[in-house]
Amino acid sequence: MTVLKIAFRDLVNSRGFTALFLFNLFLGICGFVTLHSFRDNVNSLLDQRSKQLLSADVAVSGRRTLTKEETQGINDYLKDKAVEVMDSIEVYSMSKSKDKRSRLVQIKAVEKSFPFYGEVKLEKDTSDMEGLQKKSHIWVEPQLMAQMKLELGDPLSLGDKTFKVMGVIENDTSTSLRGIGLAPKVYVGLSNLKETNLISFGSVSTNVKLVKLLPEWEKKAEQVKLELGKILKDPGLRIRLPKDASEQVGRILNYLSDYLGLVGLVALFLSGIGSGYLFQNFLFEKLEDIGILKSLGMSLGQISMIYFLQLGVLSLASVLGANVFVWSILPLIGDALSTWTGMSGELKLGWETVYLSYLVAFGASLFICAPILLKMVGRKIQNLFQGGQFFRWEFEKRDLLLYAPLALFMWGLAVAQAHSFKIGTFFTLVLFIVVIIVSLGFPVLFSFMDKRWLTKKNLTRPLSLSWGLAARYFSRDRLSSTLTICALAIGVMLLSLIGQLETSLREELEQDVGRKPDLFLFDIQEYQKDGLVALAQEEGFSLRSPSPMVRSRILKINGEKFKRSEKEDEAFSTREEETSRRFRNRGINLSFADGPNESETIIEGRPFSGRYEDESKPAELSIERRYARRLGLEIGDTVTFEILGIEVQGVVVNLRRVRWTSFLPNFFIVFQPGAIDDAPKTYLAAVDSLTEEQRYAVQDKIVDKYSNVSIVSVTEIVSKIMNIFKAMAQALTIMAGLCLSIGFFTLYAITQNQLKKKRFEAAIQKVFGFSPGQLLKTLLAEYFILATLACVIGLGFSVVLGQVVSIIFFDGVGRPDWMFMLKIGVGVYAVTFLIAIASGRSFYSLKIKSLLS
Amino acid sequence: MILEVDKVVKGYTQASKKLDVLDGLDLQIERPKSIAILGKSGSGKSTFLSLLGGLDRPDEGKIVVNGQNITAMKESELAKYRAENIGIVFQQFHLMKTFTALENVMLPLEILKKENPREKAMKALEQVGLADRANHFPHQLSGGECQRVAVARAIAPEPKIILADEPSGNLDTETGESVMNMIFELCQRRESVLILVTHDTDLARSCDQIYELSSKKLKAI
Ligand SMILES: Nc1ncnc2c1ncn2[C@@H]1O[C@H](COP(=O)(O)OP(=O)(O)O)[C@@H](O)[C@H]1O
Ligand SMILES: [Mg+2]
Repeated sequence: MTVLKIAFRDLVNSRGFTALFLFNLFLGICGFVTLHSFRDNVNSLLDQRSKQLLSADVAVSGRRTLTKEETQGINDYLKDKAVEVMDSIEVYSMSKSKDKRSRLVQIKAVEKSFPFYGEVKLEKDTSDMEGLQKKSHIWVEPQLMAQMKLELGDPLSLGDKTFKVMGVIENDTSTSLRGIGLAPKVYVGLSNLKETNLISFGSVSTNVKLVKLLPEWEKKAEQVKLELGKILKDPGLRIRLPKDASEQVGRILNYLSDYLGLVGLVALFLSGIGSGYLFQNFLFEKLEDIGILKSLGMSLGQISMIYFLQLGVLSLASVLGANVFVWSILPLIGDALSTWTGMSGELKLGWETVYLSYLVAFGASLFICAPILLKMVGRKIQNLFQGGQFFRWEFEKRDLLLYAPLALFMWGLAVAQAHSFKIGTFFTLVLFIVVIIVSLGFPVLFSFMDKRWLTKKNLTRPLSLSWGLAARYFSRDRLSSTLTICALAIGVMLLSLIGQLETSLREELEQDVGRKPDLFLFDIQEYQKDGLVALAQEEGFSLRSPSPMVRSRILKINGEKFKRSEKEDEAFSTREEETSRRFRNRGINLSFADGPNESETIIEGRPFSGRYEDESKPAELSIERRYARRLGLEIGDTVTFEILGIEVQGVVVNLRRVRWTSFLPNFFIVFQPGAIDDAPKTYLAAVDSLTEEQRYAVQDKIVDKYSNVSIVSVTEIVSKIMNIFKAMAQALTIMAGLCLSIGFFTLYAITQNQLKKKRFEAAIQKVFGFSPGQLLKTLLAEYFILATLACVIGLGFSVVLGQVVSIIFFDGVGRPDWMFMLKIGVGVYAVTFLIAIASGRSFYSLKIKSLLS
Repeated sequence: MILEVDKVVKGYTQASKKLDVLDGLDLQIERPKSIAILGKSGSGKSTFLSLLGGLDRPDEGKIVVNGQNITAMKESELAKYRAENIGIVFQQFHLMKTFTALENVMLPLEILKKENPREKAMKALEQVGLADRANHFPHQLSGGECQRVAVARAIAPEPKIILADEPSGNLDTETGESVMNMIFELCQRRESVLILVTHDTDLARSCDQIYELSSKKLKAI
């Protein structure tokens, strides 16, 4: 068949185009496939591990002890369904060594059949679950051994009881993300927890009932969950299945991969631009062929078929390449994943990823190239014979229609990649606005500059002949200039933006280090408060005024009942739905205060009117603004809380902005004073400005006197957050780097394409006396202009976006990281010049004689 | 003596086979005049022009222009020689596509750092009758107009020698004639040597002298 023959002959004959197009698309798809496969693998690993993470088939957990009726209800219901039900309690507390060192730990008190699934493996197998149940045995995580300088067999006090370290945990399948928890884990036998006296009112403890179902009920776990939910009406009690446990862990990684996915989409978009450009140039050279075929009577459909066939073959080859490439680097990703999360397992290239990559590859190349093809093929034969030389790329209104499918395709991909309609749509909009500004704005700008500064001036303007020529090349070859600027600027912007955000966050966290507390105290009992204040005075450390914390849950908003969400089992839910669902089902900690503290500002509404007096009216509430948005609360709304069985009503009078990074005691919901003062409560407090030695000394002293008070080191948390963020930033930087590489590759591809034209013009210049040195200078000047524009635009946008993001997320204006931007700039100039010199080399050996033929 | 070509030899090696194109070619031009070079296709006319224009070097022999031996020149001197002494009109016009007509004509003037390049280029464009198209780009001009711009570009720096390689070859008869007349007239007025390569004998007759390139040498007819 002629169509086939022509299609393949063309591809083989235009090897340059074929290679560039393939590699370009390959790069773009690689990012996409890598990310999808990462996400896929994380989820499937979590899936495999989900039972081990939960250590049971079903878990019921709450931040209070279950009532007798609730326990009875569960037991009755599970009687003929469960093999075994066991309890476990998790509580944060300070641990003390014999030399009075203290550290916050997460105590996990378990029964001897723990865990139903998975294992807790000890170094050198020094003990087992049976042994753990013995009176004074505990197991600890290795980092605690190091922090407290412990040896096996050393004593360690938890609350009022002293235990002996009988095991160091090597592997614990119920720990999800290693090293990210607030405190190291300590295992205790459940029966031994009581003697510590840690489970008093208000301590942050979680009671968990773990259930192992009979085999025939294992498959009906969903039903068990639903029915248990009917028995336990309190939405504050969570009923979890293995998949919920893994979802929780997966959420963090999925957040990351969502954003990575968007950056990957930018990479795909950039490679699409590059491919589109290449394809268009390829078609330019084929215009005459198209004219001949047309005049020989081939139909438009047949002609288009030739080029669609070629596109198909090229897409197929690049997507195959991308799949093979990603498959070969999967072990590397697996290593990264296991050092980062402790999850190990063989990574696979899933079918879904493969299908999707084909969809994306064919979709992208079809939607980008089809409009170009249709525009060219549809020309009159006469025009076609004039060849590419006289073909001008003009943008017409109806082109918008031609590119509409591409826009929809991108939008769909963005929403799917971000797993969020809002973020995906926002992202697409920003991208389109940028594209429209660039594709309409740049040509106008260039022609304006041309008219204003170039056309009526000598060629030596501006600066010198080399610059003058370069400026003219650049401003007149609008399509190439616009595309190369775009490709580079977007890459530069992403790379710099991620750097900016990392700096912003670091500065935000390190900001007013002096004023930030060093220690954060919680679980202070009401009766201990005054003693603690006295201790602070005695020992000479400054204790910021303790804030009360009252536990409650929301019953009604504006009189409407707040129910356990029914939608929980929906298969596809967007990020927003998931978040608000999580928010709603939890209990909420209240506080009361005269007004905002130093890290808070009222942004809407009025301050409290003073003490709560008139009991016929609801009390006044101040709500953190983001929390208010989540719950859909506005000023004037009433909220009904339940505090230990008593209903309390409040009315929202103001919305507050909180600088959470201040690490002061802050609350989502604050009552005016006088309304809930009598409710049972614990206190939170912060201790200021200490050197590292003082910090541990003060901590040890407080713990010595009040063993139930938990203390976290703010400094440690800050560094932990920074580490997590650094790891994320690293991953994002790799993706942004991919974008920039694609940008450079596009530049290279465009340069290669223009080389023929450039060589020709260089030859003419040589005829008229231009020296090779001057030629090189002109070439470098042109690329200098390109690199400068790309840097200015890319870096400029990154600064602006960085500011916007830091205002939205950190409530502050970050300082741009000039040093980082300088580094990017230097890099961009270096690579751009390299490409320029590599392609300009051939100008030297140029035989100008070739102009005479 | 304006131009003296002495026993020039030039050949090409292709696929290890040597092909002699010019062998012992002589030519002397003492005063400004126009000469035509006729010859069959492939006889080496373009090759000869490229040697005169300093675009390529002879294998043997020497070429002296205004007392300067261009065969002994370095690449950079050659560039200067070209710019100052030679104007070339190509068969395919060879205009810079991203430059306007005026800018194309200005280019050699600016490379030579001449005074008032704009005015001089404008004047050259006026002389070829394209003053009103000065700010148009090549793709906005017809073939004949492009060639006239190329002529303006060649004459603008007032070179001593103008080399024209089948300048009307890509134009229709009428347009070609008018371009040729223009070249003759301008060369006469500026007293420069015109070396015109053509295979059109009628056109050749309008020149002061006619040579034919055959069997690797020039013969006066
Ligand atoms: N760069 C080159 N390499 C090899 N052979 C060449 C080259 N340029 C020209 N020739 C050969 O030299 C001969 C003369 O070419 P040319 O000067 O272009 O002839 P004309 O202009 O008279 O038609 C031809 O046979 C041509 O094939
Ligand atoms: Mg020739």
